Amino acid sequence: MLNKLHILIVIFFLIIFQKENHNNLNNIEYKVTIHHPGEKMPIKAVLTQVKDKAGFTTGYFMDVESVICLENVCKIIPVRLHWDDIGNYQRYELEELATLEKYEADVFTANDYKKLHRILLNKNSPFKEVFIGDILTVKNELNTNVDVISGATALELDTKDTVPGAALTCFTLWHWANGDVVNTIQQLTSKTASTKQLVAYIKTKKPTYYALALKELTHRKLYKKAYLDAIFKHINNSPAIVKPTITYFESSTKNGYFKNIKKLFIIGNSEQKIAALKSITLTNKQATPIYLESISSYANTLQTYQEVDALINMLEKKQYFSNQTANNLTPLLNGDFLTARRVYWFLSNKKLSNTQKQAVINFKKLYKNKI
Amino acid sequence: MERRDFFKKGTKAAVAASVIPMITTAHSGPEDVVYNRDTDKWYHLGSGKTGIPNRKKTADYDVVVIGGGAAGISAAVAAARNGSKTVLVQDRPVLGGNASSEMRVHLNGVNRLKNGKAERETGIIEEMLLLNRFCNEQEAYTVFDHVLYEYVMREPNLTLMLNTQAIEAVMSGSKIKSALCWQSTTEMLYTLNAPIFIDCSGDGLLAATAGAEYRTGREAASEFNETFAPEKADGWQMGATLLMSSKDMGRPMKYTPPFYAIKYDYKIAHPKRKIAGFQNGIWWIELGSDDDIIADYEENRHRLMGYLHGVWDYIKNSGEFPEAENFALDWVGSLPCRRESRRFIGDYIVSEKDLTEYKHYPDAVAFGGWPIDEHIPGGIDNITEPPTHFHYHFHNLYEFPFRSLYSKNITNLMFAGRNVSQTHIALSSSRIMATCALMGQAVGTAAAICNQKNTTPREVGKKYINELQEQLLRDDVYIPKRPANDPNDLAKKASLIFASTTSSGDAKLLTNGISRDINGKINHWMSKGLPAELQLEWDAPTALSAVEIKCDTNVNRNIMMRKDSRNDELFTNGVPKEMVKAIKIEGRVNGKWEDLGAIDNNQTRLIKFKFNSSKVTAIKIIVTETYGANDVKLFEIRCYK
Repeated sequence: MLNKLHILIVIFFLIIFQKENHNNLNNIEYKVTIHHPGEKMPIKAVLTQVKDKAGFTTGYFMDVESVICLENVCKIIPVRLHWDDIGNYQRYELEELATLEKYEADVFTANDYKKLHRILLNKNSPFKEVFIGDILTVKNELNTNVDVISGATALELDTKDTVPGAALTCFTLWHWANGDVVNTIQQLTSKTASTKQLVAYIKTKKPTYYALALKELTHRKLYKKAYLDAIFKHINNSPAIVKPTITYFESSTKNGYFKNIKKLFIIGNSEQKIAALKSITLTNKQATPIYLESISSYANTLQTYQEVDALINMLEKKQYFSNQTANNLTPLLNGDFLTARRVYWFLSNKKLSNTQKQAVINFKKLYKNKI
Repeated sequence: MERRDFFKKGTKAAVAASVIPMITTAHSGPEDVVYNRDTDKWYHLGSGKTGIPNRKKTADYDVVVIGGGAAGISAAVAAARNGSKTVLVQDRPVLGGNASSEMRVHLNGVNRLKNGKAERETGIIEEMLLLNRFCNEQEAYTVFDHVLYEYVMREPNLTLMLNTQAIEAVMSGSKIKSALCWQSTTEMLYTLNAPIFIDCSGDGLLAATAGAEYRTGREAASEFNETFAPEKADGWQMGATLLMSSKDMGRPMKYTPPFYAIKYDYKIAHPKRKIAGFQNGIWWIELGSDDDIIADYEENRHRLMGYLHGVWDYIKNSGEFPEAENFALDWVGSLPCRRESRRFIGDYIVSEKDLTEYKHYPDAVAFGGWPIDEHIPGGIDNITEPPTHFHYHFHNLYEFPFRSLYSKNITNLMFAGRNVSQTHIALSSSRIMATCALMGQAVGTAAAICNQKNTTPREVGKKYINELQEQLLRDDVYIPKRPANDPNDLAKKASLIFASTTSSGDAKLLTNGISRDINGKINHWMSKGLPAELQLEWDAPTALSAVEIKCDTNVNRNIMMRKDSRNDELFTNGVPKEMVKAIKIEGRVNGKWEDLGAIDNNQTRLIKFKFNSSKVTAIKIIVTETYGANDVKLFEIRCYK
């Protein structure tokens, strides 16, 4: 029964294999160099980008060898690995009648094939951490882990995490499926994407797509309204990845930068607000007093000590102060103590109006033992 | 002067046994052994006078530590740093014990648990190994000796006596009053007085002469319900190994064995007696004893030298190893590396099930995790058998209790290393040097507490165990399932702690008392890029004079020196890239940030800042550089008055 099922799986894989290989004229082949932790030297391979009729990348595939064999005693089977457009492993295929082997020439059972697929899907598989030396150490060499010269012990993995007797195959394929190639795929996808596709990636609300799209937009220096609208819509609807957004804004023109970073500061969450303020603190672009004052006018909307601290740090770094800034900050003296104390120290050595001065004096009197 | 008279005059105390190795004649017996220089006829040409050289000295210390291996160094440094005036007595010309250039055993610890990862020891042993990475890039064993020498000599409260053997305890009831020590290079007999003694010498001569109870051999399985122990008790003690190393000379090298070489009978040798890796020595060239292993040492050494040359003759001249053609011995050991002899009895005897069932002790002070690795009876004499049995590999760390580290019947005596209170099977795992070093730091710290409280080790275990554990945790020892909770730590009282960026963990975790990620639980904060800042805010001005930070050194990757200079995900042959290199702290005083300290080339996991007491409302920790990592990871921040 199991053998029959196994044959069915192989036939199924074969059908897909042939269809993709011959029928899709949109596919593009790339010669890539991939580092595999089981190999001493980087490996050259052909990575095929699969596109739909509209030209959208739908995925990739690459043919690899089933096992790294250092002593020429293993049976090596070609395996085709498939990924989606951002490098998530999807499935594997074998050639017609090909079978994967286990220790001592046992062949994979139907369950072993399914299990291998599950292992390759698991981005946090124990194979991520183990070394090929562990896999190659067989049980009768256990005793090399001695106190005088410590060698490797045989790898002991939970049976749910490996195909017993085929740890080397699992290790080899896991690193092909989840290793260096993922970065290569992401780079190819973004590099070959149309601007329409990049906007679509932003709209997916998935962090990997978002980061990939922003990186590419930054690289292409594209700042049209459509992209910015998509970005701010994304920021409004989900906690965005901060760094690519800031990097994107920082790479734009001075006017564009100040406009967009301010918008991020206003509508962003706490992490985004702080990041925006830090960006303004550190940028070499010259901000006008009106701009800085307008930023400070949002002081009363800030929710945490860290946000207020970042705002004041920015004002201190820019050496900007005005009566209006003091007006914006003075109400915070009545809020959360730590935040109020931060504001107090900022205001205490500034030239203030009488009302502002009185507020500072009151705070000092109230908290004389805590400042 | 009669021997009895000497002690009466010199120390006014009783001596436990008669073992001083003094001048003897061919026909004299122990009763004739006298330390008497009255007949010395020294004519000093420089002064023109005849006299008697001074060959007796007495010195007072707070703590006397015997043995300069990993355990002894750790004990002595811990005692000294915690305020006790300490002397470290080492019978060899170099420090390091089995890891010294005289023996060259890898300084292993929890190198690898069953999950494939190391769970490395921190604290004093890590400081030593890190210092070696900074000062001994070439990985020379003889330089390692000097690295350890520097490490010990730089401690201001610590005196080192090399080439000095503690030979006898002077007793006052159940208490050691003095240790008589013979320094061979100066012909000096030292009387070292102290309220606390720690025997980390392995063989434990001082402790034995003090009358401390001990045992040798293998327990019967029934005594401690041990699975891997023999059915009946016997006298077997695991063998000592004689190591060697060889070098590729780039041309064929001949080898002629010495006359005393013992021919290696490869035809009957067990297949697990592997020759592969011969370049770095063969660990199973070892001999033990089923009787008095200490008395047998010199005889075993001679036979081990014979076996060593016999095995090398086989490698060079049998034709089986063409790859050895260009190799020649470039170092051969003359001092076998001991695994087992006396095990002293404490208030608790650690046994197999304590380890394999991961027993939790309220007085845990150390941990281990090396497999239960019992080298077989007979050693290389039993060549048809495999050289060792790996009975058990650990999933997690096991704990070691303080009650096993002091003598049951000598009130001021503690131990650390292979001679502690445990069964033969427990020793098969815990004997490993970094584990011994953790025991050393524990007893050294306990000794300082004994002195502060004017009490005994047993009382420390009963009344001050929390204080001992807290000090160890502060000094960067990890104790499984025992988070730190130091009431004096003002970082815990901060109202707010936050970071400039976070890529994993949380700044709040830095005060949770657990200074490593363990059992799948994150206890760190990691930045997103560098420089990175952390800020602690207090409600009111807080007087601080010390800030202590624990940074990442990747405890899942081994850092000890190896002969093969292995450098991969499990071992490094350099400075861990995760370590903080440049760090500074600022304090906010009256609303203004002031510099409190800066370190540009940090070399330790536990980073200490000390400064003049300052009343701050906040501190800022700014990390600008690591030894290679893009992000900085920290595990703990503490602040003290």
